[in-house]
Amino acid sequence: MINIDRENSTPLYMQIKTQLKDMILTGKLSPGYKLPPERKLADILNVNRSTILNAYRELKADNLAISTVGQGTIVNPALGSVANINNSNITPIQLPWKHLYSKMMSLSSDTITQDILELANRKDVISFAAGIAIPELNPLEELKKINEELISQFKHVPFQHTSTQGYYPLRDSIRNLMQKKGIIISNDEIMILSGSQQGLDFSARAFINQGDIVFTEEPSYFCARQIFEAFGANVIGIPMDDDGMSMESLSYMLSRFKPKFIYTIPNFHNPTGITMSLEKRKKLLALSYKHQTPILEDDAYGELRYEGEQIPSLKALDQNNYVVYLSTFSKVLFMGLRIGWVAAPKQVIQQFKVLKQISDVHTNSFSQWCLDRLIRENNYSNHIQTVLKENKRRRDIMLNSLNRFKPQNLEISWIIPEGGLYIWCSLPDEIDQKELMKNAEEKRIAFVPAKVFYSEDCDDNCIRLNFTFPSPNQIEKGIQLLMEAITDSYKEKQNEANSYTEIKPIV
Amino acid sequence: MEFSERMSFLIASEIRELLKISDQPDIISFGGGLPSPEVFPSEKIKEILNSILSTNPVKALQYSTTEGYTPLRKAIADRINCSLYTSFTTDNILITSGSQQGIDFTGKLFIDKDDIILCESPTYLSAINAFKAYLPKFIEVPTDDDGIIPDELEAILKNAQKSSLLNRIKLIYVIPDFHNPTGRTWTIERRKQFMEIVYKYKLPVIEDSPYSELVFEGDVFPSLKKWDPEELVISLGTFSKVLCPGFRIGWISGNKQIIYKYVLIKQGADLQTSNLTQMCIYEYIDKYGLEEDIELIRAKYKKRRDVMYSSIKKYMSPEVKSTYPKGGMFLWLKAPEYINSRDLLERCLENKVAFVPGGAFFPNGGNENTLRLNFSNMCEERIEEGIRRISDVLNKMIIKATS
Ligand SMILES: Cc1ncc(COP(=O)(O)O)c(C=O)c1O
Ligand SMILES: Cc1ncc(COP(=O)(O)O)c(C=O)c1O
Repeated sequence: MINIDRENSTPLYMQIKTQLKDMILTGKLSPGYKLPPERKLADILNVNRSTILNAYRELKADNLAISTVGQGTIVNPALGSVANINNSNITPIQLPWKHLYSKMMSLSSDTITQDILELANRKDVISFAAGIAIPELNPLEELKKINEELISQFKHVPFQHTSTQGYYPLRDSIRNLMQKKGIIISNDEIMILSGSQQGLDFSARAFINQGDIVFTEEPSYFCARQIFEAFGANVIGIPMDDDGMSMESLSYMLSRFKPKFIYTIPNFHNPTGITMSLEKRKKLLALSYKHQTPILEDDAYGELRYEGEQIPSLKALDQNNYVVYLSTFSKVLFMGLRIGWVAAPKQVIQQFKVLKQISDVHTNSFSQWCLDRLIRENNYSNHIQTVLKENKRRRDIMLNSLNRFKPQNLEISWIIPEGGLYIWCSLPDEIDQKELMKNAEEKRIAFVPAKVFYSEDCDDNCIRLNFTFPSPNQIEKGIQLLMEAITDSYKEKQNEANSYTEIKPIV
Repeated sequence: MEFSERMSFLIASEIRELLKISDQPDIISFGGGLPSPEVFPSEKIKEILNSILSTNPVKALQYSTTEGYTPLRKAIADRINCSLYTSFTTDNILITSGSQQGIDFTGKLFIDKDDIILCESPTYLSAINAFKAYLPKFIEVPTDDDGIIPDELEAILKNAQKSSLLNRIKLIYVIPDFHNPTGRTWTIERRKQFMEIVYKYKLPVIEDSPYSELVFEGDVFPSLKKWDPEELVISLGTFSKVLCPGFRIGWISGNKQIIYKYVLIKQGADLQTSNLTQMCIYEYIDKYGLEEDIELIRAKYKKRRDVMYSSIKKYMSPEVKSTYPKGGMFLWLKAPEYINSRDLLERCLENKVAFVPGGAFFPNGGNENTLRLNFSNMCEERIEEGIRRISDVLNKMIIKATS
């Protein structure tokens, strides 16, 4: 009944799948028909069992077959209705969904974060790509204890709805944490978010109309830019100096444009690791007051300072309620809990509450209860100390490895970050990043190329290296391999240049 | 600060303000759509959380992929394949922070300003609000006790075709099972007729099914997916009503390419849903299944439905029409036209009983003579007492208006 052609370039499993598909669609195999067990069909056709497995998998992917307990694989019973509705046995045509999508959707098509997270999850890759804190440092025993106590004491309550603005005690705990950093606000000005990413989404939704302008540092966190653009913003990048956003550029741009807000990551900036100086913070606020433009301060990394003096946040310096402040527990504690927060003027919180209600009602209750306990039991500051120590150690290992393995003949430099999770490393102009990514991938090394962080074409030949996700051993080995990949890319370029023959005009 | 245009369409609802009062313990509230908390298996959940934290902590507390925890996606696919006649694989499922998020993403994915959304009349309040953020127009499709009325739907679509508006109609949002707010369920016949029309006009369908498993009598109804070979239907599901609402875990299921678009949106909106919670639900399903819990919930709600329905028959003026929900959490009352249920609510609050005035469930307004009553969240005695109190006020209003 099934013919297979071993000479044919189509893989065997596809040949089998196509023929089975035809039989199903022409009704030769009726809905509910039990397909032969894989082993049996494999014997009959004299192929590997895995070939049949693949063929069945393909059929299932096309919804033509399903697996059932007890019966093995059967022809999808739901197919019966194809005939009912179409009165034909032709493969259903797909609705051309594309023309139905919103304009917003056509603007967000980049899967970069996903790709990065997927790479990080691959066991065979040393990933400098993800912005993930040290995975092993979670205060597990505490969390287990809290879990035990909370449920014994409160039973179902931590699993019910909480208020849209967030579990009140947690808001209070956060208010306390912020107070220690000189940000004096009330609980009403705090709202719990499902990760600070949600704060970026809400800011976009609350402020941006189609065509509005938003300023960000250039480079900047790509998920921020993406979501601003998705809501129709025209994102304008302001270049950076060693001590943060260039105030000359900002001042000039503010005289020309009226942005809805200025988005900035003043502490241990993603991707450059740069921290904005105190003078600049004051200048930024002065400019924002002068031009009546609010500031969206993204302080995802502020807690992670390994050396130098703490600089007050924009929110702490702000006298006039111009700053919407976002932060998160993702980079210091359990990122899997997905808890961040916003501190903002009440009128902004009010808008965010409306958005929260329609987007996910409230943040996961149990996570909020657990986190609140953890902060209250004073384990939080101990935990932060542990994290800081280990993060710093890994940063130093990466800096040492960079120094040690850097090829002497190449101009490679980097910014030493006083905190955060990233080292921004600048490569010689000759290196082509696409080429380098390929070479690095062969050596099972991942990093993030500069262009991801730019809104337009970038000639910044940098890469972002994370030093917390890989283990110390992996850091050393990975940097060595990365430097080899860089050398390879450089050599390839040289060879190319040498073999290139110029075309002389014929005169 | 200057907010965006969309915010002006999103005002915090006055009803919510009114219902705030109903949180007070001495008030009998038929307001919220809350599940009954006592059935929650807290001891089992505690064990499971402990065992995850002991055996797989790093994974549980880590960022994972935007699509969600793979074993949970697989488990959801398996569950709904059995109950909803679908043949989904992991790739057909995206985990969301509650099905509310699925509704919001749907707006983001499909709706530009002035696009048209079709929905049942009435429909779920928070869906209306979520869609409003994308500045659409709504066309309400009339419904009766058997669900959406196919002829009315067809007439609307024909009309739209005539006036070249068909391409503005982006989708139809429906709740076929134990509808919020009416408690009605579409008959099988209606489901088939609906799908035929939808196929004729190639209209994407958002099927929101938080209550489908909460049936009191007979079998679970098949999802619209049963009649959907071309994958026009995107189904939303949630654990809020069968396990607990505080976890905020739901899912979107449908055509792979479309799910992929939803994944992109999820990435921008909140990166991913809490991993620990996803693992917890997966382990729970794997170890205990949900069947026992669902049985408990069904039995409990059925009793409460019975008490509410018979109390209405007993105390309320026959001028007031009630639906008879065969599952879910809500019952819907239609009072005579001259009754305004917002006024009624204010008076009822004085008598310490609350409900949701029905007008809010109609995106284009009107129908102020309707009421939504939740029967899942109060014990039987309080249900009877609450209905008695509402009847007192309502019957008086009716007598006064007619005399
Ligand atoms: C600058 C910045 N903001 C926000 C986030 C989002 O973090 P979360 O949503 O986990 O709080 C990140 C994560 O990488 C980030 O780098
Ligand atoms: C029809 C409908 N859809 C969606 C939801 C939201 O549920 P979730 O808690 O999963 O966001 C509800 C909850 O009341 C509902 O009634």
